Amino acid sequence: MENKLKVKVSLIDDKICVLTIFGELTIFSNDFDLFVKEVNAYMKMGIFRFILDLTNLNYIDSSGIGVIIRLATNASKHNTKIITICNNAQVLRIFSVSNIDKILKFVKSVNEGLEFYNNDQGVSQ
Amino acid sequence: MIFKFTISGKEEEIVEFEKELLDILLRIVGDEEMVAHEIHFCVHEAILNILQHTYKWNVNLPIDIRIDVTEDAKSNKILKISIKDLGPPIENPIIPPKQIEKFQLRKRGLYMISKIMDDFSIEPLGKNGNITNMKKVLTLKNNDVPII
Repeated sequence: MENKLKVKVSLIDDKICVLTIFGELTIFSNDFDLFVKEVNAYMKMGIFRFILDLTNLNYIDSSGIGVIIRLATNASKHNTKIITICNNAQVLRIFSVSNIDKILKFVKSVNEGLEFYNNDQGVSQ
Repeated sequence: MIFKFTISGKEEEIVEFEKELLDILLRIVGDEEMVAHEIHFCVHEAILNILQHTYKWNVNLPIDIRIDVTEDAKSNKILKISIKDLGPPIENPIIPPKQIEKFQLRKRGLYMISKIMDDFSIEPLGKNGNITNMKKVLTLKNNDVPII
């Protein structure tokens, strides 16, 4: 039995990284470490605009939240925010309890997120 | 009702236990599915805390979990969860932070447990081990059936 985590990555103009996450984002998820390394690699490349499509995320724990906080911290240094798409009530409740809903920008679609970044006055690369 | 489990820190045992835990919680809370998921999250975080900080990822050491479900005089369900580890006892009881900085990583799990549960503490157990105690009062709704 394993907690499945699947991530689809799209890089837009080498500036915006869209992470579509399926399944469970917990430290016990298979490939969680790989996911963290991959996210860190994108940040080292200088990417700070991330769109997290969590439409298909079923569960998240403090380890998964930790990854999102690191992304949000990095984005904040560039005066912008991490875009999040999420409609799972349980995941949203965890975001609320952890207070990270206050440091994320919630939108309804990836296109809306792209529009936000296009109009964003954050520090450019 | 009392439920007892002993698991190791092995991933497959934890995943299997957490599935069973969620089934139990969903039966206990009735229509309040979100509450079941929140309590499930707290138990997950407490186990993760033991594995990370007490057992330092030695996944072979045991973790004992006990869930007691009782009722108070108003027929509210009282859920008490205790989780024992056999790691080195902590020097002082752990007090979760009342507030947390926007981008703070450390202690966020403890903070979240304390926001969800009505009582939460981690205390040393003499010379060997620690106990994590959590309590949640589930207010009886009109359509709930008392457990006794």
